[in-house]
Amino acid sequence: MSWLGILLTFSLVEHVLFARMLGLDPGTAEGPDPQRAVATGLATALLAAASAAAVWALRVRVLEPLGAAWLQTPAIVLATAGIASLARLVLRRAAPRAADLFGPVLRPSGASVAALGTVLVAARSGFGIMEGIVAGLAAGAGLAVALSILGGIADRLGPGEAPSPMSGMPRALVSAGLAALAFTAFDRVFLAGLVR
Amino acid sequence: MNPKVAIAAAPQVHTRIRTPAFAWIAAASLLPAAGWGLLCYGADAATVLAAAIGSALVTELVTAALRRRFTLDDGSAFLTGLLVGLSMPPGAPWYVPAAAAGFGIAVVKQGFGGLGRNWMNPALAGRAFAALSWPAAMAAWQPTRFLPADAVSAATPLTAVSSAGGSAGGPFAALAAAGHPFSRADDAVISWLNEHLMSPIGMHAPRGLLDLLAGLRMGCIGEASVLLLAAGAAVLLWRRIIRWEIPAALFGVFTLLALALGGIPDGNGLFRGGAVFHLLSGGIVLAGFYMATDPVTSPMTRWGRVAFGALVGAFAFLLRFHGSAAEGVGLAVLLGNCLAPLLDRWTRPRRHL
Amino acid sequence: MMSPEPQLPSAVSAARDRTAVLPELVAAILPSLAAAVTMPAALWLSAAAIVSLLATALVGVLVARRLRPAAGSLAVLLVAAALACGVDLAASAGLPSVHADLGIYLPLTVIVMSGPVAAAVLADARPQERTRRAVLRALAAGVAFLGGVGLTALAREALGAGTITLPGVAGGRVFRLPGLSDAPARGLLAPFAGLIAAGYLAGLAGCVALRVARRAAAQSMAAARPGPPYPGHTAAPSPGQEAAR
Repeated sequence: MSWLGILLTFSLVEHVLFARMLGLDPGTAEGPDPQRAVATGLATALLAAASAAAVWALRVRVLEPLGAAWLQTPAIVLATAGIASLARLVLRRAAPRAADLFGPVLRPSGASVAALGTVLVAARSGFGIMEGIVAGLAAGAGLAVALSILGGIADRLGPGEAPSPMSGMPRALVSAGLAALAFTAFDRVFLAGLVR
Repeated sequence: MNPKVAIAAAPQVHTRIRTPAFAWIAAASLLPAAGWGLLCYGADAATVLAAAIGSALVTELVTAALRRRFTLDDGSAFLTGLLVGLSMPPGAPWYVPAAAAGFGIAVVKQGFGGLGRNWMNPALAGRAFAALSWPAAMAAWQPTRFLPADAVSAATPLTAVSSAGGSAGGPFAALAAAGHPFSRADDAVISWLNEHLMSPIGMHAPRGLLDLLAGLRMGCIGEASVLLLAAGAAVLLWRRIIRWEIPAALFGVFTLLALALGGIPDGNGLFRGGAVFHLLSGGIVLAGFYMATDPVTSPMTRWGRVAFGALVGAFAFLLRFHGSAAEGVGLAVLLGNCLAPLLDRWTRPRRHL
Repeated sequence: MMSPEPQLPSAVSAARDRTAVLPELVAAILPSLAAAVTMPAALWLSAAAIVSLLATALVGVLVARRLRPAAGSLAVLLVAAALACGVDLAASAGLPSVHADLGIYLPLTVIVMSGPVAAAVLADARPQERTRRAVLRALAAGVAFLGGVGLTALAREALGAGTITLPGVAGGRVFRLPGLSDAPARGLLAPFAGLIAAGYLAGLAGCVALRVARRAAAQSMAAARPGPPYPGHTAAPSPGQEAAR
């Protein structure tokens, strides 16, 4: 698949939230403000890209020569978690405010699951190193757009009439579902039409 | 305290104040187009409309009763049901419009608290749900009363053009080349026009133009007659029930893009696209005037509305020319609904303290 | 209501404690809903989830108080990763069709479900009967997962494909539902329907949490009301009640 194809697939056609249902937390579900939405998407993009690169290196240089390709799944999980922990440590020392903004992604959370899922798909599709990086960046960009949309919707819905069981996360999930309905406009035929 | 009126301190960005009569007036303005659809398709169209409106009313009754309210008198459920029915093909089985209207009212509207609190257009969301669930039923076209008898195998002008491939003369020429049937009225009027008005000024009206304008062609029940839809929309614009910025931006951007880039797939180059054809075919007029302009689901600021219309027009162009369904305008409006709150936020006037 | 809110007694805080994990649980169940479009898929995912929950809860019991929190989380993660690998390999060897259907969601479910309960176990400050509480938590979460995912899969398969597939060794038995199987609502098999279903499930969970908290509050208010100072005493009406009468 070409770069554009991978970019559009991971950010629109197989959107990490609207098609794979990864990336929502109880906290972010209730309407992140736009800065946090973009930060979460950016952090997820970088985490997924870095993990994809690391996983490719592990897979091609270590596991396959040793004939241990079946260890791919735990390698992916540990690599992603390891990179996230490392990034969190470094950020906490170097840039505490950035650590606050990016922190939620680097803990076990919806967004880190999104990065993990993207890397799993990339590895199982046999992507090379650049393709994996593009896939990760695209997924993160898609997540940033999605969280911004959900944040705007939560803003527009306001505090609500009365606290009902549906207020907060349930309503946010239904909103995400309806946005996913809108995003079904981007499907394989659309992709084929654009990436001729 | 009237539950239908919410009052808050300025800036009232989150408040949607709606007078009940608006929905009924909008529904009334759709009646000519609906009547034309009933005339063209007869009993089948009546079944579809009845199923859609009935399902919308029943769903609204039940879901509002759960919140101890009665909201049928504000007309919005009727309007949603009518819009769902009008965007269905006449041959759809009864459960398709019923499910679409039910989904739209229950999930998209009442799930968020009822009138004025939804952020997505219920009619279009229901239609999109139906298109994903029953794709074959959503393409159940039927011949109209006004087309020649052998039109059963023909499709709508839009699907005929997309399956016919490109043509040097643009979409109208492609239609003629594919043997698409034109009505006798179209033949008569267009040839008269060309003889007496167009040739002296060196222009040429294509065959099929009247068919598209007057609704003498196959399609969804309410989208066919552009003239009747435009007349109804003119009433709404005059009564200021809908604002002009959204349709203007939507149709403007769509026409511009269709003109500029629409000819490229056919090999005609830039600025040779069949903009008139694409503007008059499919449901873009219905969606542009009646669905995209819903004040509840579109931005509140003027520039927000312009941006919204432009975005939806751009999406509609993209989806029509590159999307899977021949009809992408519904999903384009839904995408616009998703972005409307963000547009509101970006174009909100800043308070200078 | 004129009566003052009671200070949070232990019953209410215990109820809030039990239901506080609900949002995290719903968020953890969410990815699995994407793949839950048939009953067998839902049941296999639930099995993987329950295995993950129990194993990580027990690991959490073992390492709680013995290792630092960061090391404890690492231990849980290692176990979860090993489990994900094992489950994936077992599925690809023994149930290739299920493995192909579920794709990344099988290992993903194992990893994601290792989070909420293990974190609660590691944070559990009371050493007595920790094992029992951990196992109960894991089982409760597993039942919630099974219920949520199973119910969603049943509805989506019945309405979206017109069939109900019961799992079995040789592909299971497929029941075709009359009427529905001719024209099923295929849109329900799409991911957007999973998100909407998750929203309503979360709403249901919220209903349950509300009811639990209300019952606990009612119980604590009943317990806090003082008894009469001597038998036969009737209390004088308070000013608030007098005004309301």
